[in-house]
Amino acid sequence: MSGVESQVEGRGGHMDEETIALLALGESVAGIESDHLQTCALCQAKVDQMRAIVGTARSISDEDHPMTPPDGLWGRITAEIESDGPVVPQGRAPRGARMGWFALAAAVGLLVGSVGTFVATDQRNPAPTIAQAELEPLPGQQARGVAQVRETPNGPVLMVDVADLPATDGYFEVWMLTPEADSMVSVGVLGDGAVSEFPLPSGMDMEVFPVVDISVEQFDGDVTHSADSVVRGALAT
Amino acid sequence: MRHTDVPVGGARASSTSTESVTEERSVRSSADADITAAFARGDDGSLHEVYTRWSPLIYTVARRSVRNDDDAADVTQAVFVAAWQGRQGFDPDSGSLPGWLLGITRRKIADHYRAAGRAPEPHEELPEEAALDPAVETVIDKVLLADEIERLGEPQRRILELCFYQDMTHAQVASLLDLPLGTVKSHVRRSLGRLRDRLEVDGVRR
Repeated sequence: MSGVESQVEGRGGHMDEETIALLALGESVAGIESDHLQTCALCQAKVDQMRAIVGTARSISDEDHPMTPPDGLWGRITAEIESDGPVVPQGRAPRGARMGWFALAAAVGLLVGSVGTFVATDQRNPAPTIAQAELEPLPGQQARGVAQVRETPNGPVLMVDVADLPATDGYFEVWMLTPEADSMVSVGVLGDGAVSEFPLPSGMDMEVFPVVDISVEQFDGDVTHSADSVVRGALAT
Repeated sequence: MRHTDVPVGGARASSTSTESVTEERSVRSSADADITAAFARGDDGSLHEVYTRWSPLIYTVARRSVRNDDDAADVTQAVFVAAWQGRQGFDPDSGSLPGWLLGITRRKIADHYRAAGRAPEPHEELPEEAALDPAVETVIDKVLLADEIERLGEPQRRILELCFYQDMTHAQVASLLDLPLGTVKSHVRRSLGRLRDRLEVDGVRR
């Protein structure tokens, strides 16, 4: 045995990584190597570790390959961070679980419906919806609604349908924000009707400004955002 | 109107030759290091880069653990919100950013199980030392390995897949691909080393 040991030692002592790889994959190796394994706990541990990795890798299924999350999730994350609270309030869904995106969309289906009837003025060629946002109340607010970007023959249009706005002496202004809310574009002033419609500049990049926001503004001549937002939601395609 | 460039994720150039593998890998880890440093500083926009780079990993771990796409999206949302809000607790010297994100993911998955298993009550954070769930640990290992295998260049990936999933010996692979046996052996050794390193860097529990 000492002769074998010295042979292995002579080649650097422990098993090389190639031999460990071979053993981990279930291949056989020369007698000298397997003899060494019998007596060397360190090499045996390395082989065991690699064998476990190979075993796990062999059990990978298609579903384990990283896949991109659904569109709109990033907007939900930024909206939650901006609002400093969950975008979908806790406790509205049964058993404490928060409603998912699609369940939420279904829950506000009524609002979607009213937007739908408004924009479908030309029944033969309804303007296709490019993106949609559920407008969620910011903390302390009751308002709720839906925003949709539709591609019309005259260019993209933002449709806003929001209910339960608070009483104000001022007016409501519609904005599109970056996810970080560090840059924004004023889209227009909300009308009194149920649904307002705002043509968007053709160069407007919804990926840069995906968050629809409605703020309360005073008649104070200050054109900047009041930082007093009522509802907010991220457009998802 | 101000126009800001949309942040882009890490370099994803796929390498097709052996020579470019090392270079591609170092470009990738350098891009990862840049994203990590920006996040640790709390830079504006850094969370978006972190999300672009690692949300597939987090979402897939969640999806394999909760078995419902809506719940997986909720868990992923909770992870990235908690990551941003708790970014001061991230220490780049004590571990990788994806490893830290996976630590949050373990807790959010545990939160999800707890919430789904009982009547609604106020949201509770699990203690830092949440009990390990062996099923979740296996999921994390599989997703990390699947990700790392996808990132292997060619012919390394093909070689490893033949060894793993076709149960071919090194000699059979060498013969099939018309490569010297020594080349196949060294590719397999390096690829397995990468898989082991990935689990040790990102899969470590903390």
